[in-house]
Amino acid sequence: MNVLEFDNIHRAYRRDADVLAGVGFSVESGEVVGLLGKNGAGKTTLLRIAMGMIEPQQGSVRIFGLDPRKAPVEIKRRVGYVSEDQILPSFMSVEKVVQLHRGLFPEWDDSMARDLLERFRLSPKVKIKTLSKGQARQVALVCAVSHKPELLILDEPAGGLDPAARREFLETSIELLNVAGTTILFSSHYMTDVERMAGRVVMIHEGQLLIDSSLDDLREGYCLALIPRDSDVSLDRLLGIEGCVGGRVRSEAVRAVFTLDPAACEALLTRELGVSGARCATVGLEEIFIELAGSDS
Amino acid sequence: MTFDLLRRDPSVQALPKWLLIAPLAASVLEGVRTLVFGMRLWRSGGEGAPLPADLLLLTFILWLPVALFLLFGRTGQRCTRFDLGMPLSARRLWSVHLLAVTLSSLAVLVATSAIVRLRDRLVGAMFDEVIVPPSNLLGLALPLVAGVVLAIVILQGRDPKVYATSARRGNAAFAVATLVALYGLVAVLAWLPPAVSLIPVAFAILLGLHSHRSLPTAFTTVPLEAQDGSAAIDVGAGAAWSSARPRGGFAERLRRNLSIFHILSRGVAPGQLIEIPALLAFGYPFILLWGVLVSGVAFAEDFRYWMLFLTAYLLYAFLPAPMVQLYALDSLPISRRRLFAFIVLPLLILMSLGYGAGWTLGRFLKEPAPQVRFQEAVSESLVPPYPFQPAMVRVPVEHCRVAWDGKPPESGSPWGESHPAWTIPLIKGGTAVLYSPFSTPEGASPEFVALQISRAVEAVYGRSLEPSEIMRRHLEVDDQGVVVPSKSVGLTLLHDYPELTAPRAVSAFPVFMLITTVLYLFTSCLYLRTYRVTVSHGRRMVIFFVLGGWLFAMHLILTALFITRVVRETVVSGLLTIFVQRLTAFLPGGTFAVWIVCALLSWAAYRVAESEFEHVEAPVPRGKPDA
Repeated sequence: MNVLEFDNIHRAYRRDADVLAGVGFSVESGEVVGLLGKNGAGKTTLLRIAMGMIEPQQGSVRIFGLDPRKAPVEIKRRVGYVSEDQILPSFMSVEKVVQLHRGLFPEWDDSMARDLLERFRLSPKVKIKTLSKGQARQVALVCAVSHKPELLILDEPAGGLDPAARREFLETSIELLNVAGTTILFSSHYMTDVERMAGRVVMIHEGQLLIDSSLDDLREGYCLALIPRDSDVSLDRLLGIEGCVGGRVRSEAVRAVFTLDPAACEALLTRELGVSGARCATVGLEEIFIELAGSDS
Repeated sequence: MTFDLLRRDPSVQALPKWLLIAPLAASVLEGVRTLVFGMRLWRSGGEGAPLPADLLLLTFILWLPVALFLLFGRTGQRCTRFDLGMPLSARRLWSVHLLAVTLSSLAVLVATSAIVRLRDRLVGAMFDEVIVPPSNLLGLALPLVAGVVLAIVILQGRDPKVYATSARRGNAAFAVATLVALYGLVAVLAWLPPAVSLIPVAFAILLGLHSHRSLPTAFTTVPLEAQDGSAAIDVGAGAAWSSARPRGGFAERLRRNLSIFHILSRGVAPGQLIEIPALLAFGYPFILLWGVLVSGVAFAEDFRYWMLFLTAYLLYAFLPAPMVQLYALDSLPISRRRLFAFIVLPLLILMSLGYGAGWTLGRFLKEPAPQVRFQEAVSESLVPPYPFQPAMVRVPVEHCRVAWDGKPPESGSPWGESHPAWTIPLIKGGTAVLYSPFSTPEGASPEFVALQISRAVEAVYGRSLEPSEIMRRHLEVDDQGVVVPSKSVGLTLLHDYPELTAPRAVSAFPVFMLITTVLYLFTSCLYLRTYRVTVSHGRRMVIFFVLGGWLFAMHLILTALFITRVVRETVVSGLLTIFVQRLTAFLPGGTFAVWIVCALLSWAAYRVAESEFEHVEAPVPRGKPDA
């Protein structure tokens, strides 16, 4: 069953400059999906559209089968949301913030909130303005997960946190919610986080969906080809080959990402372009991201 | 380098805004001083020398803007963080900042004084009837400069180790107390020879040198002392919510709603002159007080209609502050309808409460005024002095009538005496007029005046009195042959006939609130349309000021129309009152029905604005989302 569905989402901030230009994918119950894309790719916009905070100019979004603009309260009661630029009222104490959330979510679990605060060593009496950035994010997480949401949306949740705080944050999210079958959609620039958490990766590039694949398929089914510059192979020719999803020209070689295993890729390059000396290898998520996000295509 | 530091100083950066606002505020306050002075002259029959209070008020007008600048003009920030990273000593940064704050404060003072002077000259030149109070600005210059310099040195001596004085309550209270005390000092110095003002200047120099010597070699960003135990983490402390009542309980719901309300009301609008929660600090108390003012307790009843656009403007001016906080609540399951109610309704409720309080206060404070009067009166001039008008029969404006063709029927009598009705044109030069059917122009006979009073009493109180009795007891003819109220008795109807009870006056409140609410919500609707992520912050601000500008411009236009007598405030008030009176008579249910109709129309306007609010896309706040 789909918990979240994006269908042909369009959104522009300026005329003729679409941030999202027809993005569509769905997230099934229990999935953990990592949303990737370089800065300005539209990840935050997409997640805010999911939360009903921004309206799409075209297309539709459904959460639990409901339209977030028409049934925002019903949806938000079942969703947990943490974002990098999320703001908690700085003049309130942790206790007051938790108390506010407690009253707004019918499924609020007091013992869970208390356990998490103890785990994060957060005193309920302390005011938000006196907390560090990491501690404030932890309070936001406590508020986002203690009502046992069916869907957790995390927008760069670990941005600006030190590695230890980041690890603690993400592991807590996974531990608490994925075990209970909560669906998670999160955006991040940390590929290691995505590899650790996500079962599926969705990448947005230039307003469109570039990759929607399980992490295993991504690791095994994608490879990076390095074609020497002296072979006279242009990027345009490479992009014309079926299976090539992006590439860029560098001083020493043309680098292209293919949805093929390395052996098949080498054979393809030899057959289609007559290139010899191309090196093809599977690479990590970060390499794929860099090649595609920095793609000249 | 020093010039660069001066130019970058936070107080200098904030100066342009203050050079606009401070003179404006001073100009408005000077207007109040002129009015107070004129009223005093009028009461004393044109006699009267300047009193100490006049000087105190003028000192206050000049002191207040500069004091506000010292409190909120970013004077507490001694340098930027960028400057901290440069090889500059704290003493140099402090000295340059002291110079910057002094120059900025003096600039505010000069601008304020100049605008007060200019305003007085302009008003004096434009309106012959306005008497401008004397203002010896040169005599006040030295005491004011001495006070400002001393205030700056005292305030800059706080928290000498950090690059910006902390915003804790102790510092704020100290600053306010210092500025209030120094106002007292300036007021005293204003009465003493100018040379005495050099004493506080000398003291300021000594204090400045002492502060300079006590500075560290370099500023820090935070004080060494821990503040309020904020850093201490008390793990496992008992949480209040664990013992709270069930979530559906009334107390819990109330607490939750108060929290939401509190969050919204703590908003600091971007570009706000004084960066404190606008609604909590100013909005709520001010709107409550405004409600009292427009209720008619302090000013004439016409005042409320004059202030219609300004009231809507005041309500609208406080809209951006809570909108900043929207982002903090947007991810929570709180309906937009509820948020909109928390933003809009408190102001409208407070306005209504203020109005109600003022109305109730008026009932206690004011003697029941006779509805039918025959007396001399002051003119309806907006500015003093107020010339007297001859005695005439006066009735509440709802008993006047409109003659659209400009030809009101003459008031006649059984014995053939008739006189044209007293009229005011609805618009200067226009045909239609407002007239009183109970007019008693000069030249009317005592019998005619008595008949008109008798008719007025019947129309207003529903009781008939014998004209002959009125003439015998209440009227006499003066030396010029003009009918005037009896010098010994006057028209003491309520005293003589206790059974005369005035019918319930036409209720102005629902109509006033309806017009205000519609204007406010209509303008808000347009402003809310700018809350789209596609609209930049700058553009939103421009639209906000343009929309506020239209309300304010309408108020100014209305004021100009009243001052130039193109339209009289009495006419506007009268027309609205007559309209409500007709509506009350027309609708089954009378006054109650008028209230219901006004409430329904207000509700419709509210729903339109609410539906616009549901489409708002909360922008990511710039800087701090709350105070």
